[in-house]
Amino acid sequence: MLSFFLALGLLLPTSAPPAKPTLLTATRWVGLHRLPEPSDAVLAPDGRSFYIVSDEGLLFQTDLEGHVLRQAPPDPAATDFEAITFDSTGHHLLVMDEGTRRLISFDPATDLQRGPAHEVPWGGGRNKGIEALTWNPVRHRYLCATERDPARLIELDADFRKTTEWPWPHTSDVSALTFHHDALWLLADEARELLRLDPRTYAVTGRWRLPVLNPEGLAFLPDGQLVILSDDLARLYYFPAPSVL
Amino acid sequence: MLPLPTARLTAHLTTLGALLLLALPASAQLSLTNGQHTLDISGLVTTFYNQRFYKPGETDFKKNRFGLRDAQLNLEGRIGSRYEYRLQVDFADIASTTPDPENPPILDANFTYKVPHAVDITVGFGKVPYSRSSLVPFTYSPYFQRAELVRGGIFGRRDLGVTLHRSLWQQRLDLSGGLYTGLAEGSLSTGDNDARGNLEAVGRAQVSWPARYRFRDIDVDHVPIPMIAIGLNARYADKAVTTGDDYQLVTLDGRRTAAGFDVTAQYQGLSAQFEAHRLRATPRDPNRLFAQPTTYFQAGGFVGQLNYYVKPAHLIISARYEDFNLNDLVAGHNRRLSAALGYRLNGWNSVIKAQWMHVLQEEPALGAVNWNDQVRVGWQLMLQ
Repeated sequence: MLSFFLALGLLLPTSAPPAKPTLLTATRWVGLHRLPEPSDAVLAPDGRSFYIVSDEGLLFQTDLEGHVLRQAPPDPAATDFEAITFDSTGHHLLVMDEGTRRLISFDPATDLQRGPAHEVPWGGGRNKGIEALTWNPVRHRYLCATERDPARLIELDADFRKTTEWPWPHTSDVSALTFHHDALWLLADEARELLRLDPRTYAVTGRWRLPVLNPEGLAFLPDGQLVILSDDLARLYYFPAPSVL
Repeated sequence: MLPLPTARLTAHLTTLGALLLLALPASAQLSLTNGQHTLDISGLVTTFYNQRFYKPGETDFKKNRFGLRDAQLNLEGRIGSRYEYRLQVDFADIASTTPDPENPPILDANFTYKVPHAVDITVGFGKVPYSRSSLVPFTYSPYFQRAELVRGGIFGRRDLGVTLHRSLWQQRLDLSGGLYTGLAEGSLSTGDNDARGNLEAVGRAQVSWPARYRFRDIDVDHVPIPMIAIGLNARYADKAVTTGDDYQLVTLDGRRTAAGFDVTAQYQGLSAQFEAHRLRATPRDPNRLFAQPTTYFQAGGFVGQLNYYVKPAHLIISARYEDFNLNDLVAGHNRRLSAALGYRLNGWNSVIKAQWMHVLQEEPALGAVNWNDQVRVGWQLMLQ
């Protein structure tokens, strides 16, 4: 029954749809000069640095100005890191290797040493696997999304087993997910849109446009500032908090 | 001309291809992985109808027909972060007695070793780094045929050899260069080099701003900032054989130097490309010089294309103009005008395309065709 209402929530248009998504305007940007093809970011618990993954299978920690503080030891088996989040305990980083369909654990308390990996099977093309990942504390599930062809939302339990899967009809693609201020936030690269979702039903409750080329990652600072990562430009764009915050 | 494999081999390959393609539902590219080695299986099927409007007096209308342009199987893999490989076969051209240089039976058979912080080394058969238009995949264009200047009849688009590639400056600077047998698509069918045994050298540099610029002509994303890329490429060969079904220019018995320039830009759905090439040929056969007091002739020309993507309607609108000269010792130019529409039913995976081509002017001795206009309408389905 819960799944039915969830599916209904996903397929319905926004519960309070704005006439046209509001265009957000960046206040500044910083370059990520030593990071090749950055693809997602997550804010460190202390709010003073980011962990950023790269399409080249690399993991970095940077300060808020984009300067590299440290890098995880390169792994020859890694292919294409596309999503990053903290695990349900908040102690370990989880990184999705899109090519190998592996969710890899890294320990931020050490030198970002690689921990165990968990397979999250998905049959689409090599670059059409899981692109977005976050922990949803409301449903006690990891929420993942495939990028496109087709875009889908997938829930994993705390042991990384797939529990539920839904089609995602609201944007043509999904590039990042995060949880902030009692809501889920979804970034769509091709549409260049930011969507706010109800964390219980995944219904869309807000929508904004972003003037950023190839937005691939998002995070929120403790003061509510929105940070969008541009892959092609290797930049972090800072925006004022969306009006609902 | 590529020789046909034996009928039995053709039958086996065609059956295998058909079975594999049937096994792949649309929009369901298959990816297999063991955690280090990932293999993608995908395909492409394209069918069209071609109608030519022939010149008065023409009695052979054989080109008014349906055609199977693509029946491709594509295997792409990656082993860790060091190795990549690609095998792309077109069964439609294996079955054909007249392979198209734009679309040969084997499109790619190569692998790449990525040297960390250095270069990518690609070994095998595939596209050579010359001409941006040639490097844009067919599947990302509303056109059914590339411009005549760049579709493989004047210079080779693929060859067997080794390519070094390096990207710098956040991929805004892209450098490629390589050595190849120099017989273009014919390198596979002959097996051996020509009697001189020389290789062809090819190189290309591209710089883009403010971000990397992919090999795409259409701005389907409506990029929010203006983007531009400028490329330069060149090639040199000294061969002992002349090939080329239409113009005898793909390889030349003699020395041949070619250089090209291209620029592309896009913003908010509007995009434009311009590309020019100049070929200087010093043939050993004096007949190629048409009794002129010179040791060489020149060929080349330019192509300009303007496109707009109507995002709400999923519709691509494009127009193209080209002007090319097959030999500057012979009077005349070739000028052609084309227009294309592409309706994207499901992104690039399913596209209905329509192309109209009109011959404005011909080089009578070398470039004459028996038609004035051609319309081609068809559908491409990428199985990925």
